[in-house]
Amino acid sequence: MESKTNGENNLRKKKRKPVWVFPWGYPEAFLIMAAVLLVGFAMEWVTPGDGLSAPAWPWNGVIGAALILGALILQLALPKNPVVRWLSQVPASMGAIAAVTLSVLLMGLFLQGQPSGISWIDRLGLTRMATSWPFLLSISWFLFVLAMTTVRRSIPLRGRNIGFLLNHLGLWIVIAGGILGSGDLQRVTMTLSDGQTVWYGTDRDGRTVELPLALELQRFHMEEYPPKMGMLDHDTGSLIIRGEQDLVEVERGRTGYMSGWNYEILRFFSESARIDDRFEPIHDIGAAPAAQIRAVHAERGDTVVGWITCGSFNMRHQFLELEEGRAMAMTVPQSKRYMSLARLYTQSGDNRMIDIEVNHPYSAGGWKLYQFSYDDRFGKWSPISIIEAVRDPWLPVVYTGFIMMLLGAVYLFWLGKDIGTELTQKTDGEDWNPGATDGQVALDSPPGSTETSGPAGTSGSTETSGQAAGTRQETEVS
Amino acid sequence: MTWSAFPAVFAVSAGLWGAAVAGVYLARLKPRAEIMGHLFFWAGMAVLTIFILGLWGSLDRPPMRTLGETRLWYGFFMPLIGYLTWRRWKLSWVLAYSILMAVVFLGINVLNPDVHDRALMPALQSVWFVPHVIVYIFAYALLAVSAIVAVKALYEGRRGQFRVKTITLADNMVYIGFAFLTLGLIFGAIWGKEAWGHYWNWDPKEVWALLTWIVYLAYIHIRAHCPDLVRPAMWTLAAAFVVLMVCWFGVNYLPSAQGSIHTY
Repeated sequence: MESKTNGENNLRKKKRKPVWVFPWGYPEAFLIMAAVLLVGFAMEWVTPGDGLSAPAWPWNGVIGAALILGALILQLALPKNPVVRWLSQVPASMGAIAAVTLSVLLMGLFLQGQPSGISWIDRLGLTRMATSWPFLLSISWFLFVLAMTTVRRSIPLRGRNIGFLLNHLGLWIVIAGGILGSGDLQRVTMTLSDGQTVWYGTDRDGRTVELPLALELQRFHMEEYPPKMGMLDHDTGSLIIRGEQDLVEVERGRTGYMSGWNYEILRFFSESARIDDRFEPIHDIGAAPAAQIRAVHAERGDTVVGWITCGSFNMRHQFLELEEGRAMAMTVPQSKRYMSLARLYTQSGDNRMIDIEVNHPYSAGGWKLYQFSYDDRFGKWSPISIIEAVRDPWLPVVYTGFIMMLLGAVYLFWLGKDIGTELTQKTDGEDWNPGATDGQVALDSPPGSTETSGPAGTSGSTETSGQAAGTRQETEVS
Repeated sequence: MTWSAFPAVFAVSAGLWGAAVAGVYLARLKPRAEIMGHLFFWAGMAVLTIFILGLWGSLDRPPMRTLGETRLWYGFFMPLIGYLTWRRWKLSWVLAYSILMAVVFLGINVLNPDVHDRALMPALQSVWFVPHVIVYIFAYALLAVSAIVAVKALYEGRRGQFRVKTITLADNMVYIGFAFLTLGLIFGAIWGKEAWGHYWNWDPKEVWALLTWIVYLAYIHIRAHCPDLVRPAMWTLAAAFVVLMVCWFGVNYLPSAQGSIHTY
């Protein structure tokens, strides 16, 4: 089956409607998008500051409720108003999507979080877009349009709109919950050292925050991967790595070939100390891995035997010099896992031993405790452990949105084929002239699609052409 | 099994897939040759699968950490998607194209070998690691095919006729690919909450993943609202893949990515 689409030709033939004359379409959507961004940058320019932040409870809740109520009231009171109608359709959505896309694109191009030193870039907020006016206005406009669209499609609630609602309402809940919830989000770091009880944290602005819990570090524990060894080029100061055999894990008895030399690892201690010109195993603060190597030149046959170590904070590293410009060297072991063993005290009088490991936070008293960092100068011998405590009361809201979007994604996946087929059937409609009203044809959407076109089937729109309505009837899936 | 075996694995798999494509095209003349296509295709997949499982075993961690390892998965999923598309839509060129893409990406791994590295930083040791990476690479592979379908549609349009079959194929691939992008984004967010304390940190990779998601979102809305605007929609789809590639590896070269937790 082959067909030529007439729509593009129709669009070109059509006489253009002047801008701002109803019904609105794409030109109005993109002019508003430009206005939103321009006003945002202008406000950023005239109100220099460190960035915006969401208000805390209850004001963030008020804003969220106002957005939902505003959309509900507009849709119930003025369903036929051309602006309300336009706000619930794809052209307005596309304008809002474009505004968010542009501000996120700027965020993706400029290094965020530190001033660039170029005054106009910093003054426009380009280096902290997530807290800038243009981003705030874009995302607010986006949320408003998305709310209008979602509310319109939800009245009355119909089973066949389930996919649409999961995707649109889910996304709205995630974004609104995330942005408004950031007003109540608290993140503080607690620096623990052996035997001290800490009941406060420090936020990112350096303020001290008292917590409803206390931690007393018993022990910081780190496991490491075995160190690796390779051939060092003295001219470049880096390891020569051409293939897999050039950087190998150190283990006793390993033999191999590297840059002209055959080697054998005679001895290996994961924790050791230097005694005269040799190494002995020792378990003590500052111990470092060491290996004794015998290297034989593959052609000349000269033999070198000696020790290598990557060293630690109180032990110097040591290479094994083989020939002019070449030495064997050991790399610092990478951490495999690290955790804090601590005693937790809560206000309710609880007192128990817990361990906090990366990827395994511990929940207590409305806070989540994360293994955040340690003193990397000391590595596994770090005398301190840094814990991050996070409180996010809006998390259940955001996760509700995530679950809806996950279900919506499954729905999209499941119905993908039918949606595609239906769209193409519409494309075949010779009588249907999509350009005639400049994107205002309120074609009802296929079920489950994420489109936001007007609710022809729900509000008695008269804009739907007979052909399109017929197509809808044929392909409707309940 | 380690990366040292990969050049041989690559040669065998690529050879078998090449034979499969030959069989598929030969089937136009001699229908019985189609069985060759099936047999050689699955033989090639089997060889690559055994290598991936062997590598997984020898590394003692999922082979999904380095860029080379994600290319390996890409090279695994591309031919699979091409094969399924061929079975479902009878489009042999999609199979040939996706196998070519897979061979190019796996070929980069032969020329630019990864170092055997068992180390997996603690933050990556999570139950979310495997699902997050797999759904993303699957989406990337699918959307790569959708991009080439878009180019084909534009070519057909230039010659005077958009073929409904081509456009329907593009739509379906985007719907399924977009569903997987959404899964990947949300799995990543939930993992981020467990590992880094928050589900969204505006890390450069996150920013570009969001951009990628939005561009495909725009495509879906253009198609749903104006099915007749085929040409702009197909241009959007082709351009979307550029954004996707920036997200996948281009972001490593952007000034904004200094200090990203996602650079590898």
